[in-house]
Amino acid sequence: MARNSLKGVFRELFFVVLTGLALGAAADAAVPGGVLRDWKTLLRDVDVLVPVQRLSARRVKDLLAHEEIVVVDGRSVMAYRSRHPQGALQILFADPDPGLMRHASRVAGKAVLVIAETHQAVQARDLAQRLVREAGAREAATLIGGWEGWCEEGLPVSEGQEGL
Amino acid sequence: MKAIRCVAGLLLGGIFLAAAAAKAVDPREFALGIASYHLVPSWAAVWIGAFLPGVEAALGAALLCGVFVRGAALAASLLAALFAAAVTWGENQGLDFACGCFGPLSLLTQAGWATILLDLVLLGLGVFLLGGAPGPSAQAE
Repeated sequence: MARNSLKGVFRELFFVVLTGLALGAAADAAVPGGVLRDWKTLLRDVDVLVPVQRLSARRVKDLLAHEEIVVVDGRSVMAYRSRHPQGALQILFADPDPGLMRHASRVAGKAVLVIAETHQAVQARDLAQRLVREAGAREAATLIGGWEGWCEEGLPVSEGQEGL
Repeated sequence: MKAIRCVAGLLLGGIFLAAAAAKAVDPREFALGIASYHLVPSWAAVWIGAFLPGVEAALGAALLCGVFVRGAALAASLLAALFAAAVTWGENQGLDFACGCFGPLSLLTQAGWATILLDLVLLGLGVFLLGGAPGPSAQAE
């Protein structure tokens, strides 16, 4: 009885999964950015993804004291000029290409930390990826708590436009 | 008890159906999200990105309609356990990644302990439904 019941559950599971696979293929074919139509391009994009670490402000404090780490600030020009991490390069999330080109030589081969406002987590992750892939950074990380976390931990800040 | 099971089925089915719809809007972004875990090979991330929204939609619809409930509950439990394990792994690795749970709804998809908690709640609902009366296909035997 129990065995029959178990068989029934697995039979139902089989039907649900099979229906789901068919539904998945149909839905993928129906949407404009479908994966299966151009999976080779997507595979290339996936292959170049690198792991981005998330560091606490305390860990960053240790790294700044013991190791060379390049800080990149992606916030707006106005926010940067007002206050930014000491020595930070500016590469705008809104328009990263000029900054990536301008600062590539200072980032190449280094560990990089991207600073963002808390609501810019996705942009910070994307820029960290690009700093490794396109500017040759050795590894990239983002800061837990972003710019607020930097200030709360009492990490050094500057004013003006040193890294524009 | 029947009412509680009904509510649990509607809740679990609704969540999986909503998650499937959100992912299906941009399957490419979802596949990139899976790849950002660095847990499966690139080709697997692509295929999961293509087919997982469909499986979630099917099990969500089954739970909402009350057909193949135990099979769908088993699928939901397995997926929820898998999601919880993957996010826990990413957290332990200190990775910065989006969970991809609800596609481009980025505010809901920041991976973290809240995501793991949600997955465990889904797992609990799935196991609860799995322990109920056999569905129509099992009763026929």
